[in-house]
Amino acid sequence: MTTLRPGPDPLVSEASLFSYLVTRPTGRAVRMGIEEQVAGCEGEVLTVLDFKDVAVIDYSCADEVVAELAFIAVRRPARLETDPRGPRRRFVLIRGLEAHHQDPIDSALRRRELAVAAELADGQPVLLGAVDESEAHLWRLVCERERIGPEPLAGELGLPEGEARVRLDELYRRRLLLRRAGEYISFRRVLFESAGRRERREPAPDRRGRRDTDTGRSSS
Amino acid sequence: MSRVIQLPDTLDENTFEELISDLESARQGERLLFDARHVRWVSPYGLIGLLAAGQVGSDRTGLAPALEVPDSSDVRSYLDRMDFWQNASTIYDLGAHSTRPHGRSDALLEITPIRSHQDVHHVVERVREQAALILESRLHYPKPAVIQFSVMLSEVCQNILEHAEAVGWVCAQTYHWKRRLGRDVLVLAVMDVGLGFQGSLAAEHARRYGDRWSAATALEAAFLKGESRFRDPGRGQGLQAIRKQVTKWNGEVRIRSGDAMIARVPDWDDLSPLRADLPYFPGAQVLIVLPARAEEPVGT
Repeated sequence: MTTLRPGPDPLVSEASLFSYLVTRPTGRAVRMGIEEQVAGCEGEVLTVLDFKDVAVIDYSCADEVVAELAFIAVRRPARLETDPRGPRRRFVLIRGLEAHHQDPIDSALRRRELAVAAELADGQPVLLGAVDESEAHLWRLVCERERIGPEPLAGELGLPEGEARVRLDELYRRRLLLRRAGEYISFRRVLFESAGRRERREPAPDRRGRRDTDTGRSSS
Repeated sequence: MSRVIQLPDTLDENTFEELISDLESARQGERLLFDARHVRWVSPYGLIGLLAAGQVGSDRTGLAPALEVPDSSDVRSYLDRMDFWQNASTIYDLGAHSTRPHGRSDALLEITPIRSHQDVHHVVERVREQAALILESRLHYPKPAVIQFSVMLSEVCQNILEHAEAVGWVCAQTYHWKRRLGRDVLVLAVMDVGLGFQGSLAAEHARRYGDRWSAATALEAAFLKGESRFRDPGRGQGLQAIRKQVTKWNGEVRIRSGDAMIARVPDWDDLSPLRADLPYFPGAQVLIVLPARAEEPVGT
């Protein structure tokens, strides 16, 4: 069994996207911009893809942006897992998802047997891609609780604790939630905590209304 | 030496084979004259089919073919409005014919060359507003249809860039098909004269098919099985998505490549779903027909 130690909080990297996410080269450029932004970051990074302003995404672009980022997150080279500065892990969350975005993204992920966590425009959490119903059910439970350990979850589901842990670890391996100090944490919780930290650190706006933030933000 | 290619009086998907049948035997140094004087009606497929045929004629003979303009002023005016002459001037020797200034056409998309991914962006962004109007008010499709149409347009145009390695054209227009269907339709045509499906997929798939490898099996592999020229599992989704979407709208999609044609045939047409006996023509020629919904939707 892996010994879990609390590590530093994950960095949240937000990416706003073009209105027209069409064609492979566009997708490749967007993804490379996102990757570049977190390339030097150690530890864990949660990349938030904000689809609020995306009018159209085609299948090619969905594959190049979302499926490729999900692929990189799951198939990180082993050397990054054993980096002496700590494992470098990547997670992806889609926000502002509308019905018309879903089919291209879902289809691109399924072809590669990948999955990605997402939030609909109304905030409802959904999983896209290759997931079975029991995985989706477990993941929704973690989202509802925001953070939970295998023991209480096992109690809720009527499972042996070991099995609950194995199933939660599988969601973690697929980069659909975070794991910290024996607990499994939803991305929404991570964002909430990150926003709270930022607010505490953030100075009051100056007279021109400007302020500095520590959140990585890119416009792709 | 020169040869006259007599164009049929109706230039569309049904007479395309007639248009290209004389091209097979065109020889280097032979001067071709496409005689369009008797053309009375042209569809988007016919329009860009004429560009494609001219390009193939030019490639085979090494000489720019000549084009005799249609006698019909209606047809000439339509060709003006669809930017035909502007595109034809890079292929045909048009002699003294010049493009006259013209107003905006009522077409969804005039003939647009696809040479780069920027062209695909341009097309998708340009048609959005008018496509929304046509899909909603003429075809009675639900609101999200415009996005699905944009995605389809993007994928079908990218197909040219990904697989043809040559220039292509796209064109779209709406009609009322009184006799054939009794409903309005949106017709989208996309063509190139590049590698074609057999050539594009050969390196990755031909060995597996052995003696059965042909334009028809290549079309089946791409259109029905989502196979691509790339090993990457993320590739090959575009045509699958188009087929799925067109099926949902009870439309027709046909792809002609080499000597074969594959189609998703709706219940309102009796086209053969697969043909492998056509005259050889390079590249890929795609036709998509989206019919108006049979009944007015209630509360959508």
